[in-house]
Amino acid sequence: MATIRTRPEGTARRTSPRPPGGRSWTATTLTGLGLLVLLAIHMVANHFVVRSVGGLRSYHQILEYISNPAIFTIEAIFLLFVTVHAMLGVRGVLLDLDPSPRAQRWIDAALVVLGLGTLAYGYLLIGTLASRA
Amino acid sequence: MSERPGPTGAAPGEHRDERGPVLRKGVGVPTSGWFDPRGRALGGFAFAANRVTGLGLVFYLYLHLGVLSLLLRGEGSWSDFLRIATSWAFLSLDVLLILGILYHGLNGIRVALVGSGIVADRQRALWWSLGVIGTIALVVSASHIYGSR
Amino acid sequence: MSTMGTRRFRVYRYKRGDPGWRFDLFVVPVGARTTVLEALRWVQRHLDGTLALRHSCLHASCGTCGVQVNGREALACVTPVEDLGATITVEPLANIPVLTDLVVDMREFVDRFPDEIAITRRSEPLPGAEPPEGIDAYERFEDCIECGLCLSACPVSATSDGYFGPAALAAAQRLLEEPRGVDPERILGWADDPLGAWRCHAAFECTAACPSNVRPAERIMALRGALGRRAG
Repeated sequence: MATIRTRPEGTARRTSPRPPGGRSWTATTLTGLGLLVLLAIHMVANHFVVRSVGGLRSYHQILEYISNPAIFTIEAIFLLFVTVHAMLGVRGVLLDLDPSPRAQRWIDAALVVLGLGTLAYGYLLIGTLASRA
Repeated sequence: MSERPGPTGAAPGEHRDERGPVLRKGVGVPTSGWFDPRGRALGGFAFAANRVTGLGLVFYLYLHLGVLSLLLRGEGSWSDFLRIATSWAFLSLDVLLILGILYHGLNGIRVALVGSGIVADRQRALWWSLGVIGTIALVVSASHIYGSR
Repeated sequence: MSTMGTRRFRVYRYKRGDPGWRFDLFVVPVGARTTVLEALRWVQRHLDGTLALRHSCLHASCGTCGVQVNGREALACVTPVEDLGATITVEPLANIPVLTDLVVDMREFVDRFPDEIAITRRSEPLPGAEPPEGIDAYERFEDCIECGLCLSACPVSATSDGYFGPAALAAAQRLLEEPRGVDPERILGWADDPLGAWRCHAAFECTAACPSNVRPAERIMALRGALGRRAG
């Protein structure tokens, strides 16, 4: 091969071993694509179905809505997708603060805790409302 | 334009002379480089707007969970909230929310298609065509929301 | 040069040992076709011989004269001053350490390329091409002139010195298209890094800044497609 090297072998910038970086991007993309459907359903159902100002549901209408098993399932999956997508998105923004590897581990841990907490509270909320119907 | 010496950037074991200043685009802090709209092309604006809408939607997620918590207090609390939520100002915030969702979602489609290499060289066309779809959707949504009052 | 008036040039200045950087103001006579490089060279000859800048070919094929003009990356030799306003700000490229004035340390740019990328490569006859009668062979040249404008424009490079950068990633993708004996798996393994192909946010600022039709952003996206197929 006709190749001329003007930089000594092995002087390229070396990066420390890291796991492949595509998993976060893939997860963000997949949850995002799922949200296109789930969020559309959520927005239409909560703003464009009920005949009221802004399409907003009254207290009893909400209880009736969330107690439907199919709706409950869709909203539960929606909450999961939106939480994962949000945490990954925030992680991407924080990555651009160029944290050290140690700080990155703390950020990842904090976002996992925040995400699990969000899911826990969200499921508690819709579960309680569904049980009141 | 801010500048400060950055990390040495030297390979392990390599000695480098003192590093000169490094110019960074950004608003004050170098890591705000993604946010600085000065001297940016379309793609840069789209990326920054995607982030801004994303962060806004994260804020809204927790605001929304907080508002929905009013339901736990019973019908009276929710009815009080609905009285505020049906005002012109609040409905306008709803339209703003839909704008954020439409932008982030439709631009997300562009990022997903382009970023996975499926349509790597059509990002401008995607941005404009999805923008038209988003604009139509926003106008329809806004007219429905305002028209319901 | 035949003059049509003057323009004010606000030029970034820094010398080793200075406490910090500053901007110097120069009033330069310009003509209808004066370029930024010509104006800076006029400053060197008539106003301040200590102004340091790099240039070579004068026709956008060497990539040496990359600077920021009014906040946007450009090759000074082919950037006319006519439409740049009454005051023109010239700064060195961003995200690369400044050596002096408008000269940046291109080692930091070159070192981002993987070892498999040859710094220079003798051009070869393009196999499989069918040149017309009278032409012996086509030789393929690389579009990338390694000017560094893409790295300067990249919003991710503004946040991290560790990011490989558009030029290195685009060069890796070109190697995938035309390996010439390089193991593609090594290139993909190099690019499959949180600071490699996955750190790009698809802002496409690099493609907008590139003066040479490399389209680095599109190449990074194609590289990600290849990584996705490799994983799947």
